[in-house]
Amino acid sequence: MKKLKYSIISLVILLTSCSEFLEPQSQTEYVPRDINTLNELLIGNAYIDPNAQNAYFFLYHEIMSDDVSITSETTNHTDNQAKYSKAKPYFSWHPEMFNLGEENNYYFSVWKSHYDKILGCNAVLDYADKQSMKGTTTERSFVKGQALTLRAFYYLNLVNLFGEPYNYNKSALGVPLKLTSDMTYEGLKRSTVEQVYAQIVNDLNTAENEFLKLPVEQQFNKEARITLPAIQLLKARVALYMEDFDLCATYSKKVIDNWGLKLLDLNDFVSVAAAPYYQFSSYNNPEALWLYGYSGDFTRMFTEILSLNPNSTSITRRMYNASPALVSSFTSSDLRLKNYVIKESTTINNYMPYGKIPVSVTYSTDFNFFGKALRVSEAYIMLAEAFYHQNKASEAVAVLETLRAKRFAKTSGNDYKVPTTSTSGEALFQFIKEERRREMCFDGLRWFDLRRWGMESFSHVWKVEGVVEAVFTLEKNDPAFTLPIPFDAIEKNPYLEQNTLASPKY
Amino acid sequence: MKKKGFFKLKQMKLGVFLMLILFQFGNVLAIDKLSSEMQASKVSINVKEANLSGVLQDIIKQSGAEIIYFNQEVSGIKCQNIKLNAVTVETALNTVLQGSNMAYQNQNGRYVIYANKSRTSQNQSNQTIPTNKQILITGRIADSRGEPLPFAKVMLKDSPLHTSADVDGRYAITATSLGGVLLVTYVGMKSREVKFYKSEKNVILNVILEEEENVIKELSVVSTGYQKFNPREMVGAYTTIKSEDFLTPNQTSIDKMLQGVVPGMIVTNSSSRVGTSPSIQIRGTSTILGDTQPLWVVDGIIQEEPIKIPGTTFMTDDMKNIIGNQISWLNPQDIESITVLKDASATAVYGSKASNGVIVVTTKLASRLQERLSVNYSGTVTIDSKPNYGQFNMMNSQERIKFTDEAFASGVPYLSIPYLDTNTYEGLKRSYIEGYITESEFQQRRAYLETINTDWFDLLTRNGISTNHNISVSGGTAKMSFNSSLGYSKQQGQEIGNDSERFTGRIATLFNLTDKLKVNLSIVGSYNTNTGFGTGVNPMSFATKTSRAIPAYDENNDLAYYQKINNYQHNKTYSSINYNILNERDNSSSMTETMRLNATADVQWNISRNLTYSFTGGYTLNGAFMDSYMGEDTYYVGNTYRGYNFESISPESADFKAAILPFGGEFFTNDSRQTSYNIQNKLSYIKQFSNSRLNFFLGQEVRSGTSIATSNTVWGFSKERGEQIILPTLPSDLTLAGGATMGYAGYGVFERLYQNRWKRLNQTNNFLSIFSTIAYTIKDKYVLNASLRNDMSNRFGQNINRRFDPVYSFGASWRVADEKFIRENVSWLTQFNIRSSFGLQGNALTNESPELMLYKQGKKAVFNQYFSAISKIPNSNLSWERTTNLNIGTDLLLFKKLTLVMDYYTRRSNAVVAQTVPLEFGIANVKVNGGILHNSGIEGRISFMVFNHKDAALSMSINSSRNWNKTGDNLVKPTLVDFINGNSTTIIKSGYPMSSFWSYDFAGLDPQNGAPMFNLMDVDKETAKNDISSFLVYSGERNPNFTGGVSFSFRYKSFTASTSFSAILGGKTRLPNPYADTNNGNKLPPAENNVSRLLNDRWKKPGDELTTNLPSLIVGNIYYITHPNGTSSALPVAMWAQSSAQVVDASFMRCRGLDLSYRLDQRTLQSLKLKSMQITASVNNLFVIASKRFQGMDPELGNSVMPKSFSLGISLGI
Repeated sequence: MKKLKYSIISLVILLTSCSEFLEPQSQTEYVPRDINTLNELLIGNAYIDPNAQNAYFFLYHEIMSDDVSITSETTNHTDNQAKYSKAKPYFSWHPEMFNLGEENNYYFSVWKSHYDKILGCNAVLDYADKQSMKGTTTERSFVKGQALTLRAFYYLNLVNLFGEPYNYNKSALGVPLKLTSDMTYEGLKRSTVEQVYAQIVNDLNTAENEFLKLPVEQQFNKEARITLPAIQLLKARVALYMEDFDLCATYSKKVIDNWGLKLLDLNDFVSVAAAPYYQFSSYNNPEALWLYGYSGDFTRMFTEILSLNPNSTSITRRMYNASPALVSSFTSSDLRLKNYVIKESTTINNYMPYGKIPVSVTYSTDFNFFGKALRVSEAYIMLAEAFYHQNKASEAVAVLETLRAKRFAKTSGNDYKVPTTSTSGEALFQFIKEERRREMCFDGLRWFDLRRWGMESFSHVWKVEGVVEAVFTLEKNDPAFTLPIPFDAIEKNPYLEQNTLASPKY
Repeated sequence: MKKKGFFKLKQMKLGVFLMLILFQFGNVLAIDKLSSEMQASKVSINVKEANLSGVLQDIIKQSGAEIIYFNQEVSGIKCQNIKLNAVTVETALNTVLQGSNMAYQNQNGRYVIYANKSRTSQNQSNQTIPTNKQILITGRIADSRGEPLPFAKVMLKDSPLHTSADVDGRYAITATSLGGVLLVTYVGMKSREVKFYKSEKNVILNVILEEEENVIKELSVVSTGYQKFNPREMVGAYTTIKSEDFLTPNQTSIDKMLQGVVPGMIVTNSSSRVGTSPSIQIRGTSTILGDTQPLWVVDGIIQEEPIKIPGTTFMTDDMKNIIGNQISWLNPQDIESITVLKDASATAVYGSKASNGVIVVTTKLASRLQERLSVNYSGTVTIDSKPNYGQFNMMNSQERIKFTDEAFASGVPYLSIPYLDTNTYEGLKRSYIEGYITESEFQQRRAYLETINTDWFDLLTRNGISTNHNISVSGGTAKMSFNSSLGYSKQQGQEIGNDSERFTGRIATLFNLTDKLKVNLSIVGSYNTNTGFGTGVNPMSFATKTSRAIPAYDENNDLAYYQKINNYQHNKTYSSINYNILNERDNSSSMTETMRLNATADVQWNISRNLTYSFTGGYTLNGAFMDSYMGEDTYYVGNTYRGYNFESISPESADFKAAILPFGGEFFTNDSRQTSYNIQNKLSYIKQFSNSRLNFFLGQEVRSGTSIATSNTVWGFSKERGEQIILPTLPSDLTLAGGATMGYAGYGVFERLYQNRWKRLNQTNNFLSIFSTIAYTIKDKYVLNASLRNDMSNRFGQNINRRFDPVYSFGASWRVADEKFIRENVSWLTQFNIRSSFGLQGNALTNESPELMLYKQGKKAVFNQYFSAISKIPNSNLSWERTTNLNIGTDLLLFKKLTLVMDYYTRRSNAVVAQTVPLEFGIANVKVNGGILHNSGIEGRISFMVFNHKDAALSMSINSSRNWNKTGDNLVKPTLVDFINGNSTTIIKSGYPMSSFWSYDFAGLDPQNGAPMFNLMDVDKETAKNDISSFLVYSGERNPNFTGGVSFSFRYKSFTASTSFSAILGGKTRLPNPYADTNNGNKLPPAENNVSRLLNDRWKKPGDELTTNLPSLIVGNIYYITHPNGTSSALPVAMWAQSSAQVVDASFMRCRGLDLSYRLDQRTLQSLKLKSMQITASVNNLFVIASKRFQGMDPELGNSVMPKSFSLGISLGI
C-alpha cells in the first residue's frame, strides 16, 4: 500500500506541475504585449509594402486622366491584338471596367488592398490603447499617430475613387467606414462622402495631436515612417478637397515654414548614364517629407508593349504615353518635363505616363526604393490655390514664382515668372491649375483634380496600330468620374449600393 | 485484472468468432470428433529430459487423442528418462504424470489433466460436514486447448449469485448455500454445470468448456487502447476486425487495406502510387475546417501527426505524397486486430481529438501462455499489372494528327504558335507552311509521325513486382515470454523509378515478475525508403496526356527531343529548349528516407484483487530525410537556370555568360526529426457486489512531441562529378543576352535561400489529459456507463480560460436475451443486446485565437526594419466545435450462426465555418461557429456461417452503412464558383449535404453550329441575384453516402477460397473536361498534348446534335454567355464542362480480391517437420463495376486506373 501512496502522490504532482508544460511556445507567432510590436506590425500590415506586387493603390488614377494617351506609333503585329483589350475598359471609363478587366486577367482590386491595410491600422489602434500593452506614452503616441494618418490616407484615396467629389455632392455615398479590427460577418453600408471626410479630418487631427506629444526630433524622423509634416500636408490636401481654403493655407504654410524643407533646384541635377533621373523618393531629396508606395503600382497599367514590326517581336513601343497635352504644357526652359516624365528607353524618346519614381540605368523601374515621396512643392502649389480663393492674387503669384524659380533653367532668365496676363482673376486660377498639373504630374492627383475642378468634359483618342478607331468623351459631370464599386466587393457585401453607372463609350 | 497474457488467447478466440478463421479451426474440431475412434492408437515416447507440455503435445500428435491441460499448470514440470513403446494413451499419461502433482481424468473420451491438489480438496469437500460459513470458489475457465475464456459467465444455480470471469478466465464467487451447482456459460461453447460441496476451505474449481460445433463464438474482448473491455460492458458503437480479415497481400500499409471492411468507415484512395496514403472518414463529415482524419492509437499510444514539412518549401508533390502518415511505419503482419470506435461513448476517453472516430490497433504481444518456441515465416510476391492504352480512351498518333488537320482546316487557331520542330506534328506543319521543308519532306515525316504511335506506357511503366517477407518467433516460459518479428518489403510502383522499401523489426517481451506484477517491454524499429521523381516529372500523367505522335527515340535509337517553352529570364535568344521525358526522368530524382524507433514499457500491478495500477511509457524517435535533385541535363535546369540546351558551349559565348548555372543543377534537402513521449498512469478498480459489478477507471496522460525540420537548397550540384557543387555565375559576371531585361543582382541565385528556400521549423506540442470511465453492471444484464475526458495543451489559440472543456458521454445497454422470458421462450435468440449512448464530442480548432496573433517576420526591404504581420485576427466569439451524438444499437446472435450488429446514429455538429466576409474587413474569411451539420445513418454488419462440416464450410459477412448529411442555414451567400465546384469550407445551401454541387442545365447542342445550349438562362435578374442556384440544377453530393462490403469464404478440405467486394455508392462527380487542352474548344491543343478520343465524336456538322453531346470546336469570335444574375459570364464550352451533361454517378463496386489457399495436411507436415504450412494465391482489384462514362478509368481515382495485382504467398510455422 506504500507504493500505492507514492504513485498517487506522483500522479498528483504530475497533474499540478503543469503550468510551464502548457505554456504556449512558438518561434514565430506571438500575442502582442508591448507597443513596439505594434510598431513592427505597422510595417507589416499598415504601410504599403514597397515590394508587394499584389498591392494596388494608385494604378487606376492616371489611366483615366487626361495626362495619358495611347501611342501614335504605327505598330503592326498579330500578337498586339490581344493587348489592346486589356486596359481599354479603364482608358474609356467603361461602367463594366472591372468585370471586363477580370475577363482579361487585368483586374486589380484597389478596394481590397486599401481595406487590407485599414485592417492593420485598426488592429494597431485597437491594441495601442490597451492598458496591458507595455510601453511609454511617447511610443504609444508615435504608433497611434502613424496608424491614424495611414487610415486617413487610405480613406481619402478610396472616397475620391468611389464617391462623388466632396464639393459636388457630399451627401452622395462614399465608402464603408470600418474603424475597428473586430470581426462579424454582416456587411457594412456605405457612409456618405461627408461622413468619410469627417472621419479623415478627425483621424488626421488626432494623429497631429499624438505627434505633437513626441519629442521634436522624432516628429520628423527621416526613416520611412509617417512624419508630422506629412500629416500637415495631408491635412492641407484634405482641406483643399473640402474647399476650406483658410485651413489649407494655414497647414500649407506650416509645412513650408516649420521643417526647414527646401525646394529642389532642378538646375543642380545633372543626368548621367549611371543615374539618368533624380531620386525623388529619398530623404536626400530636400523636398521629401514622407516616402511611400510601391513604384510598380504607378507603372502597372503602362507596361504593355506593342511589337512594331509584323515579323519581329523584338522592336517594341509602349502602348501608353504621357499625353501630348501634358508634354506640350511644359515650355522649353521648364526642366520638369525631362526630370519628371521618364522616357521610354535610353534610345526611344517617347515619354511614359509615369515619373518621379526610382528607375535604373535602363530606365526600368527600380524596386529597391519607395515609389513616391510626399513633397513640399505640393504645399506651395496648394498655398497658391488657397491664396487665389482667399483673393490674395499677388501672394499666390509670389508663391508660384518661388517654386518655379527652382524649376526653370537658370539660363532662361525670367521664364519662371508668371505671365503678366495670368497674374489675377480667372486667368490666374487657370494658371495655378496648369502649374499644379505640371508640378504634380503622375503623383496620383490629376484625376482627383479633374473631379474637384468641375468635372469638365475631355476626350481619350483610341488608336489601334496607330490609326484612330474611336474617340471616347467624358461629358461634364459624367457619372464615370466616379468609379463603379468593384464586383468582388459587392459579391461579398450585399449592402454595398452600386454607384450610378455611366453609359459605356464603346 | 487485465493481463497482457490475454493477447495470445485473443489471437485465437477472436479468430474463432470471425468467419474465415473458423475454417482453419475446422481441422481442430474434426480431431475432436475423431478422438474417440483414435484413442486406441499407440504411443511411443523416448525422452531423456523434456518439458511435460512438449511430451503431451507429442502424445497428442501420435495418438490424435484429445488431451486438455493448462499450459500454466504444466509449465516448469519436466519429464525425465521416459521410454515407452507402443503403449496406450492412458499408459503414457500415467507414466509421464507420475511424480508430478498432476493427474488426469477421462471425460467422455477426453483426457483432462489437472493439478492434483484441487482434486484433493474437492474430494475432501465431499466428506466435509457442511457449515454455514461462506466459502470462496475460485478457478479458471478455459476451452479445450487450454486457452482461457475471458469474461465467461459463472452462475450459482438456483441463486441470484453470479459473476463473470476476468480477462484471463479467472473467476471468484462467494457461495453460502449448502453446496450447489455452478453453471458456466460462454457463447459459442456448451454450457456446463459443475457440482461443488461446502468445504471449510475455499474451493478451486477449474472448468473446461467444449466448443459447440457449427456456431459462431462471441467476441471475447475489446480493446479501446487504454482499457480492455468485456464486450458485455460496452455500450458504444465499435467494430473489431482480426488482421486475417483485412490483410491483403498487395498492400504494405494497413490503412489501404481497410476499404469496405468496417461499416460506417469510408476509405478513399487518391492515387495508385506506392507509398501514398488514402483518406479515411468515419460516420460522415462533422467538421468543416478541422481535420477529418480519425485518430490512430497503437497499443494504447496516440500516434502523433506525421512530421510537418515547413510550408512553401521547394518540394515536389511526389515527396509530399510519399512521406506517409502516422502508421506507415507499422508492419501489417504485426497487427493482431483493429477496433474502430465510432460513437461518443466509445471515443469519449480520447477527448477532443476523437470526434472523427478512433482506430485502435493492437499488435501481437508476447503471450504468457506460450510454452513452445514457435517460428512463423510468411512471404508474398505481388505483381501490379502495367497500364496500357486499352484502359485509357486517348487518341493514337493517326487520330491525333487527323484531329489537328481537321481543326486547323476549319479555322481553329493555335493556343500558342507551335515551335519549328519536326518531332511534333504541329511543329512540322509550321515548318512546312513557313517553307523550311519541302512538301515531300513534310509528307514523308507526316507519314512517320502518323504511324509512330509511341507507347508511353510501355516506356514509362512496368509490371511492378513487390515482395514481402516476414518472420516471427515467439516463445518463452511462465516467467518470461517474447514475440519478435522481422519484416522486409520491397515494392515496385507501376512507374519505372517509383520504388519503396521497408524494414521493420520488433520485439515484445513480457515478464511475469510476480503473480501481481507484469512488465511488458517492446521495441519497434522501422526504416523506409521511397524513391520518386524530380520536379515536373510525372510519368503516369505524362503517359496519359502526351500525344502519341511524338517520338521518344529517333531513327538512330537516340532520344528524340521535342521543343518546350524556354522561360529563362536572362537570355531570350531561344524561345524553346529540348524536352524528353526519359531524359528528364533519368537525370532527376527524389527520395525520402524515414526511420522510426519506438520503445514502450507497460507495467501492470495488481495491487489487490479489486485494484490494478498500470503504467505505460513510450518514447518515439522519428526521422525523415528527403532530397530531390534536378540534373544539369534536364529541361527544368535549362529552363530555370541556363536558357539553352546543355551541350558543350564555349565559355566565351554569349549564352554561357548569360547562364546562372552553366554547370550543375539543383539539389534540395529536407531533414526532419520528431521526438515524442507518452506517459500514462491508469487505475482500475473493480468491485463485485452480490448482484452487480462496479468498474471504475481513472487515467492520466502526458504527451509531448517536438518536431524540428530544416530544408535547404544548393545550386550547381552535379551528381555525375562525384556529387559536388560548382559555383554559379557571379551576378557581376552575368551578361544578359537575347534582349532579356530581367536583372540579376545582389547575391544572385543564393538570394533564393532568403526567400523560402531555406526554412526551419521547430515546434513542441504538449498535452495533458485526464480521463475516466465508470461502468456499473447489474445482474450482468443491465450496464450503465459514463466517460469523461479533459485535454489541455500548450498549442496557441487555446483560450486559457477555457482550458477545462470536457468531453463526456453516457450510455446504457440491456442484454435482453439473458432475461428469463427470452431464454425460456425464444431459444434461437442466443444474444440480443440493446445499446444506447449519448455524448458530446469536441473538436478544438487549434489554429484559432481569441487574441490578436502576430507573425514574426524578418527585415522588410526598403524600410530596413524588422516587421511583424497579422497571423490571426482576434476571434473572441469562436468556441469549440461540438458534436452531439446519439447512438442506438443492437447486437443479435441468432441460431448461434448469424450475428447481426446494427447501429443507428444521429450527430449534430456546430461546426466552425470559414465565412467569407466583405472585403472591407481586410481578411478573406472569418471563422465562426454556426455551420450546423446533421449526420444520421445506419450501419450494420452480418456474419453468417452457412454451414461448417468436417470437409466443407461456407461463411459470409456483409457490412454496410448509409449516411445522411444535411446542412443547416448558411450565413452568407455562396458564390457561383461555390455552387459549381462545391465548397468544402462553407455551407452552400441549407438542407443539402455538405459536399453538394450544382451544374448548368445542359439543353443540347445548337443545330446550327454545335455550340452548347443551356436551360434556365432566362431566369430573371432579381431571382438570379438572390439565389444563384436558380439558374443551375442540383447535381448531388461528391462524397459517397453508402458503403458496403461483402466477403465470402468457402473451405473444402484443405482448400479455402475467399473473395471480397466493396461498394461505395451515392457520390456524384464531373467527368474530366475533354476540351481542357483546347482552351474550352476555341484553340488547338498544344502540340505535345494528346486529347480524348471522345473528341472524335464531337459535333462536326448539323445533324450531329442528335447523336452527340460533345460541342463543336469554336471557329471565329470567342463569345461569352452572360449569366442571368448579370454579374458574370463564361465560355460556352467551359459551361458545358460544368453542366449536367458531364455529371456522372461515381458509385462503384470493386472486387477487392480473390484468394485461394491450401493448407498442408497434418501427415505431410509431420514428414516435413513443420507445424503448419499454407500457400495462398490471390488477385486484387480484380474488377470494378462503375458507370461506362468513366471510359474505363477508376472512379475512385478519377483519371487513372488501379493496377490489377497478382500475388503468391506462403506461410510456414515451425
